[in-house]
Amino acid sequence: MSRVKQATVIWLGLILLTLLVAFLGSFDLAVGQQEYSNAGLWITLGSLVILIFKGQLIVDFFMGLKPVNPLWRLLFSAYCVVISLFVLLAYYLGLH
Amino acid sequence: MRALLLDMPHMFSTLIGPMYSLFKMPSFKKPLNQRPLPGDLAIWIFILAELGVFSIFFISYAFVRINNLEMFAEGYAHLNRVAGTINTLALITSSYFVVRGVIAIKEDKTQACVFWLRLALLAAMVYVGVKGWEYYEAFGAGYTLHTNTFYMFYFLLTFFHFAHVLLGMVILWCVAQKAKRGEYSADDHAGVESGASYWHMVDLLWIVLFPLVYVMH
Repeated sequence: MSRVKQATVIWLGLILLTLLVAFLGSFDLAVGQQEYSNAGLWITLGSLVILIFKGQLIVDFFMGLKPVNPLWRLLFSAYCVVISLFVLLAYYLGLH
Repeated sequence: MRALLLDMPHMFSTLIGPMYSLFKMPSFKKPLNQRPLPGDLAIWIFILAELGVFSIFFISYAFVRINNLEMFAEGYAHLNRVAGTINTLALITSSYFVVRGVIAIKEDKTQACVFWLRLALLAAMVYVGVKGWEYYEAFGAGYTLHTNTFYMFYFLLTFFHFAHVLLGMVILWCVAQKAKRGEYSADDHAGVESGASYWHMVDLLWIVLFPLVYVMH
């Protein structure tokens, strides 16, 4: 696959994932109701998984860190994962 | 259409590959095909520092929210999620145009590089316009930094990012001008790659900010 074609596929993938996250955000949830809290947790989990995936696509193909020293790539890949874990922990603590 | 369908497995592996490779332990032995960092080392140190600063904001937002659930839910209800989505699409598209600009200069196509960088600036202007309109609506409705903790975080996070977008636009414009004067080529394009890397960082930060502020509730 040529570099232009690869970049275009990644761009389309990122657009689709963004629309999916926006769709997740369109659910109307109320505070303090158990069934809504569970739905909110799933929405949060889903959007964080998509965030990690989108971040990895940007790091690898837009920033071009895939073929460089793996330590650099690991630093940037870990960024989205660590932030997501903290956010998930905070969300979970907010439910209890 | 047939060619596109035949290429589907390849496209799929391109999208899924990075996720799989996340779980592979990196080898620090330098293989023969390992490339140097794109652009200058200094820009990557700067990018890491910026990511560090933003991570403090992101984590603080998530943890402060725990003790102010109703306030954050009420604030969230007033946010314009369509504007947030348009801005995400604008930044991703702008990043894609920058990638095309870098590919063009590596092929010694200076005019194409200038074209793609200007297109990236145009997409960035969509972001600036939508964000400006969002701020105008929020201030018009009487929301400010002092309204409550949610709005303090909302304005602080988004405006700090907005400032980085403006700085990124200035960098992209300078790079485009230098490329127009023929100061970059296939052999000497570290400046284009450095500017592009900064712009992708701005995109990466918004990728985190968008679900955190506009989606999770």
